[in-house]
Amino acid sequence: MARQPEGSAAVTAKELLERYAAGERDFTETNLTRADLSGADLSGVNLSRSYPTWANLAGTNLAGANLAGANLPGANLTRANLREADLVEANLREADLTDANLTDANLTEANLTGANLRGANLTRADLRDADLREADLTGADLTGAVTWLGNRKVVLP
Amino acid sequence: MARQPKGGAAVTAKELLERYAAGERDFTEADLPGANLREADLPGANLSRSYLPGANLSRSYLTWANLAGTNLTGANLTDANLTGANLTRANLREADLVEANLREADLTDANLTRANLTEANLTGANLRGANLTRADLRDADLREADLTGADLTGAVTWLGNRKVVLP
Repeated sequence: MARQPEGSAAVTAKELLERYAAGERDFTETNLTRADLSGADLSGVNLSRSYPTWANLAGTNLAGANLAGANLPGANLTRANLREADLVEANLREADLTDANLTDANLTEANLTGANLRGANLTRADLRDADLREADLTGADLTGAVTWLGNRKVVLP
Repeated sequence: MARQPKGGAAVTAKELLERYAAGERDFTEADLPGANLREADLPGANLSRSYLPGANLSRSYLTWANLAGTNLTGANLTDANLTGANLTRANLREADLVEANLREADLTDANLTRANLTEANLTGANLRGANLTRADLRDADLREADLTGADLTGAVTWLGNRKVVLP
């Protein structure tokens, strides 16, 4: 169970979208458990170390977003735009990333165990030290994706 | 690779094991093509520059053995324990190393072309300059392994459930 940071009040999807529309971008450590943000434009948002656990982010535009250390186990990220997103050390265990756009995303040290990445675009994504055990990458585009083999950085063809 | 190094000593598997049991350790340039050394217990043996192509060394115990420059092409080393073994410049082309324990082994400049290393333990192994062309590394444990300068062209690994062939 993800530990909730002390003092971080739960924010409703409506409130977050209003504040984002008003120009606010920093939602670090925000508790967004089960929030429905599907289809919203949240490009460039800072949700680092936030708690969108089991949130609905289907089709959400999170291009260039900072999701470093974000807790997204079980989140619905189908068709989400995560292009150039920072997902370093993000917890994406069992997340649904079917057909998500992860082009140039930084997934180093991300936990993707059991994640569904079917049809996802992982072109040039950095997957070094990402945990992909039980992850489903069927049909995913891995062109230029980066991983480790021993101490060797490997760029996939 | 010369078929047999000059001075190579033709010896039977039985003889080798008897001499090892009697305390002998130096079997340099032994000539044992296709020998059956399955489950042989030869820790620390010096078999450097030996000729062992096609030998059956499955489940053998060769910890800290010296196999430098040894010809092991097509040898069966399934589940062999080669912890800390010296395999520098060894020819392991098309060798079967499934589930072999190669922890801390020195495989510098070894030829592992088309070798089957699935589920092999290569933690901390030195693979500098090794030829791993078309080697199968699926489920091999390469933590702390040094692959500096190794040729990985066509080597196979997993990325999640995807079989990946390296460029």
